[in-house]
Amino acid sequence: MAADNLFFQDDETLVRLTLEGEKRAFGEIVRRYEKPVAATVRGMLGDIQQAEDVGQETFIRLYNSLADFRGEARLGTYIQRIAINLSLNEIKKRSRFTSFFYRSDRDDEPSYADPEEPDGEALTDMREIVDLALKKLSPDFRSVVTLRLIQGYSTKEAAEILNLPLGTVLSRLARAKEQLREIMEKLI
Amino acid sequence: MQEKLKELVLKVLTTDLNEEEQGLLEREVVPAYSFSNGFRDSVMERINNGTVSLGLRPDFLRSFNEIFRRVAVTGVAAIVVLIVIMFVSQGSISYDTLLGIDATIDDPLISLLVEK
Repeated sequence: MAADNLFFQDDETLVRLTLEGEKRAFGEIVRRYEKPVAATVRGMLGDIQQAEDVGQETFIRLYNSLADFRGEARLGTYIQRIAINLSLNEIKKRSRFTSFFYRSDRDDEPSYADPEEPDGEALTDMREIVDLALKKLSPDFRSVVTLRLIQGYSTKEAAEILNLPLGTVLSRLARAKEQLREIMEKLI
Repeated sequence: MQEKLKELVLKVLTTDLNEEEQGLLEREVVPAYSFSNGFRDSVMERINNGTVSLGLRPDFLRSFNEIFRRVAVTGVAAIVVLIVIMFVSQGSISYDTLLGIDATIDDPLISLLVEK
């Protein structure tokens, strides 16, 4: 029986078993994609409680729409697309809330997570630097950088996940690179 | 070392890294993001307590949607063909043409009404 050794089943089988009512199969999908989804939403939103909520919502949405999953894209790509879209929605929601309650006198766009600046000391851990730099990027740039740098997707895969033309992704990556260079120089 | 890692971060955005560089990036640069320990259980709890459904629609609704779409597409196509035929035969698409009264001559109609 396929359901007895879910660990060894491929994604298509797990989807089919879930649709047949085997909820444990969906548990295996959650186990398999928990870390990639965490990388995406934490990369996009930072280490905040909302990131965990968005992560949960990603899998709930997947479960809800599993019947419509035609297998045209890989399951991983499909999940990442949901995670990115929900993260972008959360960023929009948050920025609407911020602009409604706090009037900013700054000309530059406030960053979503408003990361803490190092207290005059240069950071030494590269992971910390990257984490902080990511949060300072604009959401559109953050999504392409998260997929490319954190998740290791190719440019073509990133374009597929974001549902954008390849040229747009390449241009965003080139501009994000310049922004990232400036941000990192200030942090190091 | 830090400078080398920084260049690697920037390089990966526009270029494919070789195996050694990719390994270094994963070991030293990429933050290890994860959710809290009970994440999977929380998701499964929401699914198991029945508040979330699979989104499966009954077969009847699926078939109905499919048939409705086909009928709608055929209907729109028929309307377009009708308008094109009208345009070709009448030379214009006025409101009267659509109602089929463009060729009505007023005089016989008036005389008919007067006689009665």
